[in-house]
Amino acid sequence: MPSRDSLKVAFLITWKKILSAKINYFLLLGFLILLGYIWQKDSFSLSLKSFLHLFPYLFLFISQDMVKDEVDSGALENVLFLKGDFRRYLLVKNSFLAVVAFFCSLSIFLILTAYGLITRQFSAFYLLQFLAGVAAGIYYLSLGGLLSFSFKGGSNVLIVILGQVFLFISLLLQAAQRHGFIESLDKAFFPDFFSKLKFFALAAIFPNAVVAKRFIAYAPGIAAISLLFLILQRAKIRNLELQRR
Amino acid sequence: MNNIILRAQNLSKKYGRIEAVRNAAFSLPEGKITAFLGENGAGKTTTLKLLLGFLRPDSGRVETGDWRIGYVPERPVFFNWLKGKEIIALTAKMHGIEKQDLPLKIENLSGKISFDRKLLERKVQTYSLGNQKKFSYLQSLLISPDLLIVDEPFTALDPPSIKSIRDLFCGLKREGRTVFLSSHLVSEVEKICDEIIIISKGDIIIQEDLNRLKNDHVFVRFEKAALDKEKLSALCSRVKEEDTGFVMLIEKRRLDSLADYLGSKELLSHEQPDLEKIFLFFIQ
Repeated sequence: MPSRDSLKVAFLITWKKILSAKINYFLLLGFLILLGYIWQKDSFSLSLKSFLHLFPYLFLFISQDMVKDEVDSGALENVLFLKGDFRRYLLVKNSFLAVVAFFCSLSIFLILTAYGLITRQFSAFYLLQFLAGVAAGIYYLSLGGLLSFSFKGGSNVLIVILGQVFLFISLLLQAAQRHGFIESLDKAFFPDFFSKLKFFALAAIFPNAVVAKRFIAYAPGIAAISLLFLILQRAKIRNLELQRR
Repeated sequence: MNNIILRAQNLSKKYGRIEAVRNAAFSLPEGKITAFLGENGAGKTTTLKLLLGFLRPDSGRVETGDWRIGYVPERPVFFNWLKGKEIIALTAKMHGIEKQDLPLKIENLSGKISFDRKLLERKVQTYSLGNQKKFSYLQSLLISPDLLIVDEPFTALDPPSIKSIRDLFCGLKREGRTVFLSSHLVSEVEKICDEIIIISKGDIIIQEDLNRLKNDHVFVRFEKAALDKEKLSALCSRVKEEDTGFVMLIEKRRLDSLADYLGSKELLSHEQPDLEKIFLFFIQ
């Protein structure tokens, strides 16, 4: 089978899946309404900042049902995916999801940028923050993808969100102390290796943190971990088999 | 002598500690209908998945040329967000079938398998089980496969559809195409297949031309007696012990030698084999 055609087929299947999932429309619409509400009630600047901090979640939500759902459903045991072509489909699909989430985020960012430039409320640093957000988004996608080898039905996304809830609760419990790690976070100063490691652990659960100005220097670290996860994911897909349902 | 379209060489596959398939070696002759028979859990579906590349063998290999392969699973499942016509369009795109040729091709094939073309406008997951199976046939036949692999060909089909599918297999054979059927519906398979492969508990027991097996062989039952095992093995290796005696599947031309060896009083009966008896003989 010509590989060009199998790529096209994988793109088409994924595109139709994205279009057919109503939840995707609701999430995008909800996100846009939230940004509009903030803009209306507060300011354009806060709306843009909210966008930059929240858009990585688009990548996370799109990462649901990436692998196990499709493998377990039996739909890959099809004449379209013979001779191991289901692996190629999964690889293409995951890359395509990243591209879709990126272009979706980029479109919103460009609209906000255009308005910001016209009204002179745009700073070049926002561009850097957008790139940090993309790194966080890719991290979510790679993490969601890895989790989707074991969890299905969107529970991979739920696990990440639950992790964040526990993280925020533990930070809240420590907040009163005003020293130690909380103080380091506040000052964005991590003097020793251990505290740097602690921050990376935090960013691994809540990668949106690297969008903040004070933590943006850690964005390449998140990008590097994403790359590692993507390599791992690729290796897992290459060894994947369609076992008994 | 037919060419070989696919050859399995010492395929083995384990699921954890369970050996699903052990050193399976067989070949599919081109232009014939080969039935792959085995009891539930014998390793049929695992073997098919190894042939199709859905599973990787722990050892061994599958040799096949650049043939077009069609596949109909036992219970086909399709992406629940795609309509029948979309899956057909994707299959056509993948195999370089021109868009303008599709309607005629679909019309012809739908007629052959009694599939209602109006269903193509709906999502496949909304079809009845029988129609999903027929749709899977339609999808595979669309690519004009040189080799059609079918897991339980008659599952979920009504009697008229079963007849249509049987006729379809015979039609494919007439066109020189190869069909490989995995089934435990022995009576249905017997009507159409040329060759049988029997698998039991992960081992390939036999691969044989069915007519040769049926016409040239005979089941012989005889009483338990003091046996010279070496001599018996020379006559036939296919001997099973039963409560009342022994049963043996032996070539007719060796019957006289067997009678000479056993003496007439120990020889209880002999009967013509049919596929069901052959199948049960090998798997029990």
